[in-house]
Amino acid sequence: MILAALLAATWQPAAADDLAPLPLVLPPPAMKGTPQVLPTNTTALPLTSDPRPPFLAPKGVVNVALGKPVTASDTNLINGDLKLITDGKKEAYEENVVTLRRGLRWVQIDLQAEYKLYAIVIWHDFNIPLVYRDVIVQLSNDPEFKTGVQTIFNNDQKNTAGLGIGTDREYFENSLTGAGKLIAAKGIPSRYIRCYSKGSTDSALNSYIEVEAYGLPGQ
Amino acid sequence: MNRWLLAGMVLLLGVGLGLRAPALRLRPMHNDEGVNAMNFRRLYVTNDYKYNPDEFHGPTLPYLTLPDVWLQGGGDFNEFTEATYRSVTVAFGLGLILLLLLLAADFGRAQTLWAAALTALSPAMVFYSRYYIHEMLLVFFTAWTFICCWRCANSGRAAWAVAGGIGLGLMYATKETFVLALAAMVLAAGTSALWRRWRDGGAPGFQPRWNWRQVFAALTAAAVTAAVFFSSFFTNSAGPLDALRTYLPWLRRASGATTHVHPWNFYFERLLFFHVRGGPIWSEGFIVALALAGFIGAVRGRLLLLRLIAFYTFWLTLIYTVLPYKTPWCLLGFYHGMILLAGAGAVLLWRACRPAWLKTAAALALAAGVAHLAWQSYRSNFAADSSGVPYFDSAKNPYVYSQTLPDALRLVFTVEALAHVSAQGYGTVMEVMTPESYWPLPWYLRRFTNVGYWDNIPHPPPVPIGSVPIMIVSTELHAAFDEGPDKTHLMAGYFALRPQVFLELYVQTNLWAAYVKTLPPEKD
Repeated sequence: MILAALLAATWQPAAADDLAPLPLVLPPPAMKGTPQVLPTNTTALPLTSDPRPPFLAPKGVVNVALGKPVTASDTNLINGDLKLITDGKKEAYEENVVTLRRGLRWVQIDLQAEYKLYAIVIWHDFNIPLVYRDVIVQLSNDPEFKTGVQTIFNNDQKNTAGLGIGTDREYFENSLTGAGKLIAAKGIPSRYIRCYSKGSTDSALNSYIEVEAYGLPGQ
Repeated sequence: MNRWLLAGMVLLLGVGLGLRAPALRLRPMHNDEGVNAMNFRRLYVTNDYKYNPDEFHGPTLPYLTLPDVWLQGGGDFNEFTEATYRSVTVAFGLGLILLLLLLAADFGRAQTLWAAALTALSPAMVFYSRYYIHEMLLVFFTAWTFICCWRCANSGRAAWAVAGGIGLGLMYATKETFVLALAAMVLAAGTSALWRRWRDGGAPGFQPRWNWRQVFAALTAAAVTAAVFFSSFFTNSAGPLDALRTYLPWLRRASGATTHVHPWNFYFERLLFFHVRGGPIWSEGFIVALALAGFIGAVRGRLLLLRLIAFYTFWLTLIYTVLPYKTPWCLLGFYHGMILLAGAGAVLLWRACRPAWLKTAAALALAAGVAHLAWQSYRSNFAADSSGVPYFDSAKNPYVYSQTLPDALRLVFTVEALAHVSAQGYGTVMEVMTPESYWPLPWYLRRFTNVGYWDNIPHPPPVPIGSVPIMIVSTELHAAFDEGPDKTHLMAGYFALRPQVFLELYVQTNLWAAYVKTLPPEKD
């Protein structure tokens, strides 16, 4: 709580002139037209092909996760390599997908330095419109995520992951736009990013294509 | 009374009961059923029921629910279930079969048994006997009135006139559309007389034995009966006048100022050939075909009773076909006439088949038709399609109309569970906001004492949104109560109330956290 207050106090919102749309390059859509069948047992807003409004971040932010090392709770991957998560390839092709086993799993990116993070963008496998369960995104400077943990997104409303009740909604992996899930990080200084999930409406497995983190050097 | 007739009627009553009475709680309450149940609450709990000329139809349904509830032991309104209410219409659906006994002497025993069998088995009759709305009562009282009038004209006994008058009063006090049945009866009497003159020439015909004193007695009985119900047993003096005023709004609806406008073939599609992609074919064409045979037999024959039924059915079918306002249960009125004609038609067909082989073929065809009706009745109330969706809740069923979906019950269970962990219990404040009809939620949420219903998001809200523990909001309102900076609520899920009507459930985060603690651990 104290840490959260300190962080909130240290984070000064940038002036409007210093902001610019995130330099985000989207992969091509994985499918066109209206999907015939969509999952219904979800809190996600309806799937739309409308573009996401531009997200404003301080000028100069870049994807600081590109090429950075990735670890995971699961060392026995179903397919792919963890390196794929930060390799910059975001197309919904099979060769870009890393799949972790069933159950609650996490992947963790070491930015190798502290950055002020403004947005995290996650692409699970978006080949078809599906909803990943219990998506939780945390930031920390502790590689063990035992201290100084900031949860910036949590849609685990039933607290099945045991990390606290999430108040965010689920969301569709948008195969119509390839937009990924953009999560505001509010300039929180962090070195490590950890992303949880627990299967999806399509499968009990956990698949990732890419994670990007837009930020500025922390010091 | 002929013992074979009696035995047959007992058997058919058993069949009718077997299709109507089981598992009355299966189907979620339709919004009209919810409205009717809450109207009954005004009678049973708060004792302030008054006839409303703008909505909700007549007072017989709530009043006749009272004896049903008493027979079931009375008790707490909140503990009444769907079955409590639907057993009322089941009783009237069975009564419709029993009433035929009063016709048997003039209609013919075989014809009566056939009509009873078709009433017992007809999917439309079965489906709407399990539906807590006014229609089955109206059909019953219409049949009662018709039969009593016929017996009065036949016997000249005043008791039948009074009984017919009471029936007419009950028709009036049941549903505004009784005027259509009444008009069809009058037109049938006139057409029948003209037809006799044209077809039978000067041949001596039926001489009705009623007199003007009996007519007066019948009309007095009708007026008194209607006044008793409309005035809420003499406690609402405006009721009888409201019973006349009601025809202004209902005339507007009948002429098309309503969402229930459908093409002329709406009823015929449902009765003859109904097929939605992916669903089975539904048809009560067997009954309609037999009714056609009965109609031809009626206009060609000399039996006045059958001719009256034929013309009554013709006129009522025409009236309902022409009116733009249509809901599927409205077909019951003229369809009951068709069923009676079909009873006569089946016997005509049987008798027309002289050679043994033709009789055998007719017997097989009739048996197949009856079996098909029984199967469809079973399917429409108790079976599910290949994906597990029950037909009683599916657009693939011709008699399902704007039906509440089972998902609404999931919403109710969740809200009940939230109340269970809330310190306020059923006093927990809840706001329901939807531009679409929120019924039957008030009945499902009847235990809650602090529920507000809105057709939009109120500005300003009566209490700050952030302090309302539970909110049920239509997706059309784009409420996004979970996106506020202070995150007071989370959106716990979408729930489909009816097809294309989706509600969001917003719950205060602390209440949700208490609820989550009660959930069993999830398995991987």
